[in-house]
Amino acid sequence: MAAREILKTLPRLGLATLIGLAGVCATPVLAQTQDAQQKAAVCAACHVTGTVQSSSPIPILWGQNEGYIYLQLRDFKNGVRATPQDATMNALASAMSDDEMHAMAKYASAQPWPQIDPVPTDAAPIKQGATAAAMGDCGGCHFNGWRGYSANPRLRGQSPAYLAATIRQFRSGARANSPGMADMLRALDATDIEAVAAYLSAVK
Amino acid sequence: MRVMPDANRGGKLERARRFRNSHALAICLVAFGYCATTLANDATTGARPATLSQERLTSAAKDQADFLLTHGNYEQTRYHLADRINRDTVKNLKLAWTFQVDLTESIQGAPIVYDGVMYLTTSYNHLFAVDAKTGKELWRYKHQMGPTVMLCCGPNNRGVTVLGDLVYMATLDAKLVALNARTGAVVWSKQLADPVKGYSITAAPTAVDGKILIGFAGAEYGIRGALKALDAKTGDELWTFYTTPENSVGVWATHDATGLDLHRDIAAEKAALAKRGDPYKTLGGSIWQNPAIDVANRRVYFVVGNPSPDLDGNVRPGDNLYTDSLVSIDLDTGKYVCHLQYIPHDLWDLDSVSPAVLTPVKDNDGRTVPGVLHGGKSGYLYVHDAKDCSLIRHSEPLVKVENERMLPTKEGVVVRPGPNGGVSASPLAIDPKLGLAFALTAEMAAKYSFYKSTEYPHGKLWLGGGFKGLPGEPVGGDIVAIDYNTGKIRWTVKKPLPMFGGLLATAGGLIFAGEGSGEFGAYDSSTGKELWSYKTDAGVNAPASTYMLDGKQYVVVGAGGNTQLNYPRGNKYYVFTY
Repeated sequence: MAAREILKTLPRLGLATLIGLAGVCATPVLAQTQDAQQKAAVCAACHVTGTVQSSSPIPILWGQNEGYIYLQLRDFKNGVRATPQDATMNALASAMSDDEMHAMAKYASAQPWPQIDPVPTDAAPIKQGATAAAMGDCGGCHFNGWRGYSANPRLRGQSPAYLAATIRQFRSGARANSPGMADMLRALDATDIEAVAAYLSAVK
Repeated sequence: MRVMPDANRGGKLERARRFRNSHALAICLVAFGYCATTLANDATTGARPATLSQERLTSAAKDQADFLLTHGNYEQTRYHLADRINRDTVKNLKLAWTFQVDLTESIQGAPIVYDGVMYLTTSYNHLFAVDAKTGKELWRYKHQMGPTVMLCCGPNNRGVTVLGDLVYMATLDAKLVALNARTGAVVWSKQLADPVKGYSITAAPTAVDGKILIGFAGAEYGIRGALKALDAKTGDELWTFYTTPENSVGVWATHDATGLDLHRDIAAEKAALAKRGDPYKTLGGSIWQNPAIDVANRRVYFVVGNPSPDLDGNVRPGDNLYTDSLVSIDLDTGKYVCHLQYIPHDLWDLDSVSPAVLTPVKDNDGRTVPGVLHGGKSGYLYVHDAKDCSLIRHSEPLVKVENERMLPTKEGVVVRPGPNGGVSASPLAIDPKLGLAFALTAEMAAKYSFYKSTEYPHGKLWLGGGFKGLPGEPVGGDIVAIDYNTGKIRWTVKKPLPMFGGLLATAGGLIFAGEGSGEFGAYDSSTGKELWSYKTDAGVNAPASTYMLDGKQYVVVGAGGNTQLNYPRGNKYYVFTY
């Protein structure tokens, strides 16, 4: 798998020492950012920084919430999140230390969120999705215009193909790293899945 | 007692003080990564507020001037003695000023007002000190949040507490910070629990007797809930009371405190217990708000939230003590004294959130005894004997009830009230002269479904089932006045939206309540007649405070909306006077 080759060539960086200064107002953070930036080149191979196709099964990563990114990396490494589609991430995360996960989460969350193309415009499914998301009280956790916060991920403007696939993975139990999400999504009607994905991806 | 700057000191010290007071200074505490900005433009502002003594806090219920604690006083009556604004004069109430905070998100905090200084908080733990007369900002503190915060119910904060020279705020990343009450400089910060395990804090802390009391949220993530006492000067931990004891099984109650059948399969639960052991370590039991305190008798009273996981009892056999309970502990040692469980083995997320209120009540023999009140998500007002926590009576249902305690199914069962219904999180207010408790209610059914059991997910969202809303819901909400000596509803004011926020009652014969539509109103406390209202620019979903300053009475309330009910968000606190 190409990922393993990439892993072998990544320099082992002294991120741990730089993390020690993470609480500071001023910026030796610059060096830390540069290290994360180098590592992030690997991520950008799949999580493109430019426009993302709406059919993309790979989610937008840049600008996602810091706490959520960290927890996913941790869950990829410890195997709690391990659907067949996650194999590459399981491999990449297995080489990361906790400090590196935190640094990567911090860096990635500060990047601009790419656009998707095309943005769904069909009014009927978008309205249906908005209603279903309101009934499910999804905004209780993914609040602030579906931006969420920290461990609760941003849904707004995400790839609709990824959202729909993720809803199905939670419902089937294939994605097992948040049983609460699985339960809430099982309460959704199956006929609302595509509509919810369209609605969330189209939020402006 | 005002501390005046000593003008006779002169020299370098006086010049330094003048410099500090006449210029804006940005102080960045590099070692801790916190920033506080002091904007003190005159000498007396920098010296306020005066040191706040424990004596003043203990007698807050008799305080005619300030609003010293989140719910007015340690008894949490939200009843204030100021009466210049009363049934006759409230029609003259008008907006004095608004204070705009630095972000637009849910406001649920109750302002503390002391010695001319008002403390206001926002979502994400920003804290403002404001001149309570003019609305001018004195200083602000912006908490630097840690990288991982787990929230179920919004990024809100319910306010601060003041003791001595310090003001304290608890944070979403499970810290408690102590700031200089005059300057906002951080004095200490303590990490109380691990956010990655699901711990967060939205509650206001309570300062009492050299201690700061604070509880945790996180029962949607399988925490072991707790109330902690910290040393007010140093932040060192004095004691911890876990809301889930090592023996959480209880008495295998088949009915809840109101006599409703819980439909439990006790035999299956006992078999599960034998296989799994006691579930106390991940049993939940959030503490969402301030405890009530009887300082003289050294007793603390608080209510505990739902068990983890919320809707699945299969993995947590037993009564699940002390979830969904009133609990009383010793103030000095944190040791258990008594409890009364409202809903054993809860499967409906009917956690106890609205804070306990201490007030004399009539027992069933007509004698007056020290009592405790709590308004439940279940839709009932509960009245207890404060000595042993026993239930004296409960009210008639305050909301429509349907399918109470029916078990969640795969297809889903509609239950009324749902997880955001009943009295929900809103604090009560009481009028001890009228013997009335005032509650805000939400008429909101939900469809509860259960699919299959899951094991503890190490700090991830763990609900055990799903709930969703229904077409045609919510139906609305009410302001309800209940005679707590009989349990009967005295009057009801119907409102078009579920009510969420909290009440203030005053000796002027008024109660104040806000709505998700932005309306903030004053009502005659004995009849419920609306006497005054004002339309703000966002949902009014926080409890109001009132205070006297230079002989004039003011009312202040936050208008920031609410996350759970998705009421319109705002960024202002509104201050009214005549």
